[in-house]
Parts: sequence; structure tokens; C-alpha cells
Amino acid sequence: MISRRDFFKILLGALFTPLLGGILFTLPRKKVVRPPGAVKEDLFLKICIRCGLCIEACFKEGRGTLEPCGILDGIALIGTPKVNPLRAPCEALYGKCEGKLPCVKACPTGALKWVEPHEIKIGSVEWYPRRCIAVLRGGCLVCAEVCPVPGAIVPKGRIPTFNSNKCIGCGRCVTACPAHPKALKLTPKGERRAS
Amino acid sequence: MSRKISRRAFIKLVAGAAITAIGLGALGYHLGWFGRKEPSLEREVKPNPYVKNGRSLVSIIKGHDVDKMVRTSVEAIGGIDKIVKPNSKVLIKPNVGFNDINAVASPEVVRAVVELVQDANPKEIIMAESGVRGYDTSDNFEATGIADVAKELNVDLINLDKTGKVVRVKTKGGKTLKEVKAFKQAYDADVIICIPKLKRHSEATVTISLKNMMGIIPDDQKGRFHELNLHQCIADLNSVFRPNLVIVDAIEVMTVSGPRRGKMIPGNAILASGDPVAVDVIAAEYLFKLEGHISPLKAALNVAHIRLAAELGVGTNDISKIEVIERKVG
Repeated sequence: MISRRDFFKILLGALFTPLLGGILFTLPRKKVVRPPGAVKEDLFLKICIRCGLCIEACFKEGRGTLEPCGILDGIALIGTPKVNPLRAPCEALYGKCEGKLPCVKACPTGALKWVEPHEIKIGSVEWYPRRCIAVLRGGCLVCAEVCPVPGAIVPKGRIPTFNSNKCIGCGRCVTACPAHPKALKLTPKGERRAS
Repeated sequence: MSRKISRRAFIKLVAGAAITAIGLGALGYHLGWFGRKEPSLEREVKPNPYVKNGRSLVSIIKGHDVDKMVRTSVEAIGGIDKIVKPNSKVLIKPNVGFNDINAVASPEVVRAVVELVQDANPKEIIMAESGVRGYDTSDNFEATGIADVAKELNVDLINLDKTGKVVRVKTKGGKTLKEVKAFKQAYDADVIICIPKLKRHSEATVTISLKNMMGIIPDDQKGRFHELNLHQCIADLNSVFRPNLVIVDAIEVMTVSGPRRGKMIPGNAILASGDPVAVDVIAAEYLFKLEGHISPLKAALNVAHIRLAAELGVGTNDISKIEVIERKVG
């Protein structure tokens, strides 16, 4: 026989568990840079089954820029793929994956959809002038040197200027930036999602 | 009877042991008990054999037949046999920093150089490169056709980023860098043959042989070069990793801006020399001339890393000590 006290405990537990889950899932999420061809974020979180096949394909056939999101990116995002230019840049355009997109081909659910090369834009890069060697000391311009997109990073005198409309978010400049900490950060701002 | 120990005493004991272990570990790490850093190595730099009456020879061969031009350029300064001996280990270092054909040494030139070296029959030939950060060197090899050349001619093509072991080497009188990290393959090579592409560079002004040698150092070191002072670091690197023979690809020259998306102007020339500074001066002069610069030689002598390398004794930028051999073939 169950005591009255235990009964209330179970009842409270049953009420609180979904509430707690709900709170955890509505906790602030980071906006992460998704692989090319990702569908809109809300839909992506529903469709993506966190199987990690795109990440595996990226390591095998691409450069290995994809990694699973961790707890710091938000509970709801754990296990979903994100582009981390600190590992390697994304080669989806102007690189070895152009026209191949192994991550998209590996996706079993359609969370990543095929996109034509010229439509790829996974984000854009943000510049922190206070950390930039070109601003602090003059010169450097490694970002402009490695940028594969015509007109995205243009040196103006000895300082780089960034055109986020043209930037496709490949992250080459972030990988190459020699400043500590890096003067460039890849953000999903201006990303073009598949529909 | 076993001696009983209370829970509290046990936890105290374990905690004490753990703290001691962590402390000893930290101390040991600080003092380098777990594998001391290997001492930095010395590298012998061979003198330039391509000199005549104390003047560095630089050949500039114009024409359209790449193979003939490369052969003539090296013969004009004294032939490949002067540096490549039957027992030498040769490292060929083409500029394959990008996956864009305009920004790298053209495969035809690389092919001609490899064939030339193979004729001299050395013990070992390897072709190695570590591309610009953000670009996959293996992908660069494939995209530019260098991989096909290596496969056809049966030369080891090494992506240093993947296979290279890193050593620290003392520079010879380096001002910013007392020692430089470089890949072991480059340290092991007796003969370094450098195949730069003549092009502009956003920070280094021009990319010729001295700048091309940045492809034998690991990525973190490349970043450090930019952080410290690129021009001085290039000079310091070349004080110890001085190419023994430079063959400059000036067939299509990237002018105005670089190292990508510059204005391509046909130069139809191959330059060769054993003196990286002298050849950089002459090649930079050639580039500025193509750009229509008013005083190309002055501009070439003003390029900071060329001047600094000359100050370190890597080569000579004194125009009276450089003998230019100009020829036309084909």
C-alpha cells in the first residue's frame, strides 16, 4: 500500500518533470553556423535526428569542420552539427566539396538539403578591430589573402574591410587569422537556409 | 586483527595523497621532468656555387617553350650538377599555396624542374609543400595539377601539414627569431630547390623565393610570422633555410594585387639563380617593369624582406655584385 506522503511525492514529480524539461529546452540557445543546405532552424531541430553522419562525412571527404554542438550551445542543440572554423574552414564553395557536399549527401532525414553552389551562404564573418593586427600594428592582411570570394574582404590601405553581403561564411579567414585571440568570428548572420 | 581506519581518516588520507600528487605533477611539469624540450638544431648552409668573379649569377630566359627555358636558365648559370650530387637528398619546394592555378607555380615549370633534377640522378627527390592556412595542401595539389605531375614522374609528393614532423632550428643571426620551427623533411634535405611563382603579395609586397620558403614551416609558425614582423621573420627563416637553387616561374605574372585575383600579365620568362636575394631583386624588378612602375629597380630594392635578407647575408642586393644573363629561346 502506498502512503499518502509517497503519493504526493509521485504526483509532484510527475508534474515537475515535463515542466523542467520545457524550461531546459527554452533556455537561451546559441546561434550556431549550420552546414550548407540546412533548413530553417526550428524545422532543423525537429528533423535532425543527431545521427552524426554529416559530421562523419565531413571528416572523411571534407576538411572536418563540422562538430556536434555541446551543452554550452543550448540543451536543444546538443548533437546537431555546427561549423567550427577553428577546426578547419568549410569547403562547400571554392573548395574540395564544391558541387559534392558530402554532408548533405550523408543526411538521411532531409535536415540538410541539396543547394546549388552559388546559393551557398552559411553565415558571415564578424570583425573585432581591437584585436586585429592590421589595426594594432599595420600590415598582416592574411584574411584578405586567403579569402576566396571576390570582394568579400578588400584591403583599404593597410586595413581590411569586410563586406558581409558577399561573404559566404566559409571561415577561411577565421582559420588563418594569426591574432590571439582571433580578430574574426564566424556568425550565422545573413545565412541563407534551404526551404 | 586488522587495524581499523575511520571513514574520516580514510578520506583525509586520500585527499592528502591526491593533493601531493597534483602538486608534484605541477612542479614536475614546470621543471620539465616529463620529456624535456629537445634542443634546437643547427643546419649547415652551403655557399652559393653559381658565382663568377664574386658576382652572383642570375639568368633570365625569355621564350615560349617552358621545358627548354628551364633547362637553359639553369645551364646559363652553371648547370644543375653543381648542387645536385649522386648522394644528395633533394627537396623541391614549389609554390602551391592555393587551389587557384593563377596563384601557384605552373605544373609545366614544376615538371621541367623535376625532370632536370631527375637527370642529375640524386639519391632521393621529394616534392613538399605546406599551403596557405585555410587551404588544404592535398586539395591544392589536385586542383592545380601538381599531383598529376608527381604521379607521372614518380616523385614523392608530400603534404607537410599531414606527415611532417617539426624540428626547431637555430637561425643564423636572426633578429626577431632566434630559432624557427620547420618541418623535418626540409631540415633533412641537402639541397633545396625553390620554385616560386612571380606574384604580388598584400603584405610582403612580392612573393618570390624568400617568401616561398614559408611553405616549409608549420601553420602556427606562419601565424607567428605575421604577428611578429613578417619581413624580418622571412629574412630570419632564409638565413638557415636558404634555397640552393631558385627557378622563378614568370610565365604568367600576377601584378597589381596579390597573392590572389591580381591582374595576370604574360611575362614569358624563367629566372634562375643560386642566390635567393639576387634573384628576388631581379624578378621583382621584372614584375614592377610589367606593372609600368617608373623606377622598377628602386622599388625592388625597397621591398623590406629582400633588403633585410641581404643585411643578414642570405645573398646580395648590391646590383654591382649581380650578373644578369639574358637569353631568348624558342
